[in-house]
Amino acid sequence: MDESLIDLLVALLIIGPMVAGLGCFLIRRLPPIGKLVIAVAVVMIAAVLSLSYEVLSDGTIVRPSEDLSSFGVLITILDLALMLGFVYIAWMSKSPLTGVFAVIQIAVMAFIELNGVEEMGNAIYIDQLSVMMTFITSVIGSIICVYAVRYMKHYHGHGRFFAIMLLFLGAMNGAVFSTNLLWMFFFWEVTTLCSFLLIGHTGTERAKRSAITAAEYTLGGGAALILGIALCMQYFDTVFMDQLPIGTGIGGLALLPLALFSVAAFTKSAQIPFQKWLLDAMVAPTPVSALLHSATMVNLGIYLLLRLSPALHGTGTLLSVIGAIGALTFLIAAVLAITQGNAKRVLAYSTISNLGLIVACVGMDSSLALTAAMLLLLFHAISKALLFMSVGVVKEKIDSEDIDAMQGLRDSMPAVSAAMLIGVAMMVLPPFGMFASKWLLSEALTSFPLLALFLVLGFGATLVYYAKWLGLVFTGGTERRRFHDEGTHRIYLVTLMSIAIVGMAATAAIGLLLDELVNPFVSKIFDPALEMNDWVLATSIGIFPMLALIALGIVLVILVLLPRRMPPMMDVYACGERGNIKTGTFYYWSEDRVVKTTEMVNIGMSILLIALMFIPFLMEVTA
Amino acid sequence: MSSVLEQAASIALWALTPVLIGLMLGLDRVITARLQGRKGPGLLQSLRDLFKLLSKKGSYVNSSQMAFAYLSLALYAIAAFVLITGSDVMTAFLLSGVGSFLMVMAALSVRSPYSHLGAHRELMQIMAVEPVVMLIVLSMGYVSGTFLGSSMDYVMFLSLPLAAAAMVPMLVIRLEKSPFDIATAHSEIVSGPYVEFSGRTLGITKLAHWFELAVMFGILLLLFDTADQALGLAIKTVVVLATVFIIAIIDCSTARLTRWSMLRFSLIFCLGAVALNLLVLYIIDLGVLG
Repeated sequence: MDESLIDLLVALLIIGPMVAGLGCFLIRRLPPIGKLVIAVAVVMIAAVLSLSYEVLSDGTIVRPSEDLSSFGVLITILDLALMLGFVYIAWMSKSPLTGVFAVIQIAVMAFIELNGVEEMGNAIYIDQLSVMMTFITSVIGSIICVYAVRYMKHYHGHGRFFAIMLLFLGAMNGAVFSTNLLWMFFFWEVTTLCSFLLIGHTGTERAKRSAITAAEYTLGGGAALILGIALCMQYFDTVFMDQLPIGTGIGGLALLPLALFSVAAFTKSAQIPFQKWLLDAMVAPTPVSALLHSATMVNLGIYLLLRLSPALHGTGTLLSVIGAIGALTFLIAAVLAITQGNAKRVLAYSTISNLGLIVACVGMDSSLALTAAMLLLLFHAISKALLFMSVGVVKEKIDSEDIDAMQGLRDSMPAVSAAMLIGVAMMVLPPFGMFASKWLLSEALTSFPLLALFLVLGFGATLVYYAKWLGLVFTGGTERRRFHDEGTHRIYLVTLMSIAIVGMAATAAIGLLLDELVNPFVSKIFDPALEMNDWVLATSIGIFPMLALIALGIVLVILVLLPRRMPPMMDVYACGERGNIKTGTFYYWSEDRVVKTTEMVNIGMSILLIALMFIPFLMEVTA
Repeated sequence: MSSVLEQAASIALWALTPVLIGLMLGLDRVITARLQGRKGPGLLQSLRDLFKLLSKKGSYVNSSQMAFAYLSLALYAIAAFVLITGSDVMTAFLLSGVGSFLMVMAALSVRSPYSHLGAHRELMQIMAVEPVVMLIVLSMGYVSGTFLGSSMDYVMFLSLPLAAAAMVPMLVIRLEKSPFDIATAHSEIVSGPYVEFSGRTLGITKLAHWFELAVMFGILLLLFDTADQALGLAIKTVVVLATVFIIAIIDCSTARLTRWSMLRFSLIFCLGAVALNLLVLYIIDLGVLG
């Protein structure tokens, strides 16, 4: 492909949505905004597919920073403006913590700029990992934006809302394309701003409070990130992520920037003890939750860890503590998800839990685990988008997000229930990618017996919270009609179906994904350990019959669709009880106990985090 | 040629699984009856029950109930197939876990408080069994360096004695025996998650459960694999008979415990035992390496 065409694609993915967002802001009226958003979605999907094709066929795309020095200056100026914006926000919402973090960032930025930055390296660096991330952001994110066109009908401030949503997508793409840490930091903070604005969009007291909580947590992470960048310049003499040394050679205080980067990643990905902001962010309209949980925000932290995995590779204790934090987050969030009655809260805990699993994979520092991490990231995003969007549609219809209120949805909203079934199936059922990754991870666990203990418990809890919810959705009486119109708007149906199709396509193409996307990235550090031969996923220690399971799925679908003789239909026996029976679900723990557990866990995990920060000092002393 | 023969033999074995499990359950009923001083049914009674159920017409409440039950059977049967043909044990275990998930879904898909109660108790049982058995499978993989059942080490029982011991309470739970007959509590919520099934569909759920038991026993027996096939068969037969006998005695001599005590027992003592076993092996390995 022509060089300038590639530049155009990159620009389309970063600046395109931002410009369109500006357009939305100016238009203000929903119907024309809807058309614009759909156009942006089409353009972004086309651009991301072309860009993926380019990277997969010709390898990594790089652009040296000398060619883009004017952009560098622009980003520095915008960065400063952004920080001042945060100071203003802190002033307006009387949040001293936000102010402190913003001021720290300004101070460190000023220190970095005054010391001068040696900008000799690749500013733009698009490899397989970036392609995967931009695929998630651009495809799933833009489908969510289209979904929002209908959903936001009931809300005000359309111009502002869609402007921020699209800016968010552009900033995410910017962050995953930049290898210059300062550039990435800028885009990172833009996503923080976007999430702050989106969470507070409705303007209620609760929304404002949640928004400022999110800003506090993620700005704290941003402060850790910029401190890490300053130290990175000190110890490694570079601000380019692709120039960081491989981790086996890093020891002592030089580990400090890596520890700070991990803390930044934990705040963004809402790992315990930083989970509060993501749970509170539920007050936002559902498309915002979908965007935060699947296509943007929380993935950025994971992305940073994956991007740094070569530098983290072989750092021993540091990486083990990171893995332990991930594994504990996975287990604790999964257990807490069982105790929740609100579907969005269950999903929020399950996001935290699943991201913890990915962090644990990074911490395991092995080829299989890294492969599992990348697959989990992709399939988690797809599945979460589908589930959040379904919950949104249900909420619009029954005005509740409670699991108990969703009883019997299969009768009243069969299409949306099917979407939920597919969403959960992607998490727990074979042959979907998430299940394949779970298998992969299980095999990777053989080398980490103690970590295994947390993860096996977490897997059990995951099955329980999904079964509880999905079971109620599919509780129904005897059927009278086979199909009927449930009155779900066609934008919802189309967007839900698109995400489901993306998920199924990714599952069917898992071999291609492995060969072209995952293995090339994993091979930067390890020998790829997973391959697909004759439709069987094979590692050195086990096999997973992908084709057999896909075939089983197809056979079952055909069997379900075929007309056949059924036994007579009868209402439930229910031990002779009659009348409209409604059962609730069990939550196992009282709200009180959940709060107490959360407090305890936060304290424990904070201690672990402090330990993480002390490791570099400890190593320096002992070395 | 022999490998083709072996494959054919294992497929035949898979097809015979329901018969073997049926016989085992029949034996269990005979032993239990003798322990309780009753005459009890014959050895073939469980098989006859299943056969009768499958030949009935039955009824169903809605198509989700039907679909989830059949899907569950399919996954359990595939899991048993994967295990018996000597393929990946972890794959087999995970597939059987999905089978349990789907059975719970089937129980929840009807508007019946009793079925829901059973389903939630079944979920507690999953929560109690899944982690322990998964850790056992992981330790088997750790010991052998592979998850392929056919390439696993022989007599892993010697290095994983606590894992073998932990399998017994797991089987008690899955066989729905006292003190852990939580989901299908006899004389309490009788047959729990299966309460709204009847006729052939009930037979299907029973068959599914049998395949699940086949996976559980298969994992236990893998610990007792030996190089000598004939000797191995003898040992495995003895192990199955002894396990059934022990479980029958436990069943007859204990009273039902609560769900929470089941979770505590399983997740603290059984999981702890397997973890301890694994830890000891890990330390020994480190010592050998260092």
